[in-house]
Amino acid sequence: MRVVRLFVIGLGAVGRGLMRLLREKRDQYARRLNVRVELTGVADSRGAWIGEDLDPEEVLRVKERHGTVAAAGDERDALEAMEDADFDVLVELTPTDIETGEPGLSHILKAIELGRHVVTANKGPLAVAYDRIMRAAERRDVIIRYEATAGGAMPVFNLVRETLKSVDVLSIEGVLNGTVNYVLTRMETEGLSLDDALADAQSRGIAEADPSMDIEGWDTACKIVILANSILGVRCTIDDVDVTGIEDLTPEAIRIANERGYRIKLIGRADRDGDLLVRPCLVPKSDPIARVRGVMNVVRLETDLAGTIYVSGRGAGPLETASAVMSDILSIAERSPTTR
Amino acid sequence: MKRFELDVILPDKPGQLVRILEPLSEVGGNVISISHSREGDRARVHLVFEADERAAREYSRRVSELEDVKILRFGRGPGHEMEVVLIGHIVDTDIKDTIDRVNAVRGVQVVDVDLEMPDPERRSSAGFTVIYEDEGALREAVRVIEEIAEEKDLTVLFPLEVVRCASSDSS
Repeated sequence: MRVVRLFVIGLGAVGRGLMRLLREKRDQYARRLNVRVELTGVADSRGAWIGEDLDPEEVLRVKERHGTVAAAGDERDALEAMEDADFDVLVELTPTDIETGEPGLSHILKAIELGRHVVTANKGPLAVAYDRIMRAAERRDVIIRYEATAGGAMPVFNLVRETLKSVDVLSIEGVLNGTVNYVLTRMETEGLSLDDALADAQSRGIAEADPSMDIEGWDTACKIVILANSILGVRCTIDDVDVTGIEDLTPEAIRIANERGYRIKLIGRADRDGDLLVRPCLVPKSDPIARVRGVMNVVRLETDLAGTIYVSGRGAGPLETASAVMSDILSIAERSPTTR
Repeated sequence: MKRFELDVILPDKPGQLVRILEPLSEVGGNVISISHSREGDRARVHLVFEADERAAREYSRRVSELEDVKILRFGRGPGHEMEVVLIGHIVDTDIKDTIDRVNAVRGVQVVDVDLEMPDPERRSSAGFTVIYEDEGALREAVRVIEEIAEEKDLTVLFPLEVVRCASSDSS
């Protein structure tokens, strides 16, 4: 049996989703993949809890009752706790900050320095310092996986890395933000204003309390940067993206576009020349990108040998995102086994 | 079916437009777009239509025989169209100037304008079709529209295909 020990930082929606997933599917992974996933540390913004084989159920209970895992552990910060914990993979799930990448960036660099692999769903560190992280990881010979950073459960990085080894991807474009796509779909089908569609998305738990990162296009821009770095080999950061959001969009514009045979989608696009953009576009109704509705995401890859490839899937949601994180953990476990 | 265009001058009176449209349907042609602008007591009409070659010639003959109608131009129409959507204070920022400046691009014509103004205080939305002769005209039209949008603080939406070409051009 291979064993992979996790240190998880961040117990927001995705972190808690990962705890639920561990609780429910851990035994199945052991049987099916011969991998035992253990939790040896958890941390949130107020403290950390280190142990030999923490029970995810208990972590959820402590977090819910006390608001922090410090209640069961102590008030050490995550960086300090990482030095003391015994783990193989850092799972970095703190909130995205696109200005500094912090606190995720420091967590990731610390794990690399300690010679540990990293799985993250946090876009910030990769959007501001992709190159720096990858160079550091190469020097320490550790693996960095980040499937959940673009498109949630929709497999794109791993698809290209594992399944499209023989081809060069020339360009990437698509719908990369489920909240925005949901809002646009509602504006189109119900004739709602942006504000009303957004309020509806918030009441359903689709949009965050402050949806500006989504609506203004910055979330999509982060994903484009990570895709461009990872898949196109274009070295870039968030500052290189030309970003226009949907904040000015009206239901009338959507209707006019519709009457002329188009849907309006917030498109993120990157190509090998390093052109990176996010902007609302008119997409012909017959284009598969236009047919992706609601919270779904889609990416179109143009390749040199394999033509056009589409990937579509649910772009958000705690369990969907946690599933992508878990797939990365399991793939690291298979490559770099700690056998006991 | 091929595409043709016709520019005519008519008296600006009720019932004039139908006089030039009736013969088109009689010869079996289809209207693609029509724009009508008033110039004093006359009106100028730009019509783009599809028809086969013989029907188009027959149509232009019939229009030329109409009283008080002057054909300014008749010929094979432009081959390509691009839809554009604008959002913002389109009317306050002089929609006519916007259209004139796009029309001033060689080989480019704006037709088929839709304008929706839900409330004078709020942003309005407009759609229009840009007919262009070739790739060079398209690129210049896109550049001019972007420039106007920037200057008048309008949001402009282009078809994805155009955005894709524009982005590979700039590199």
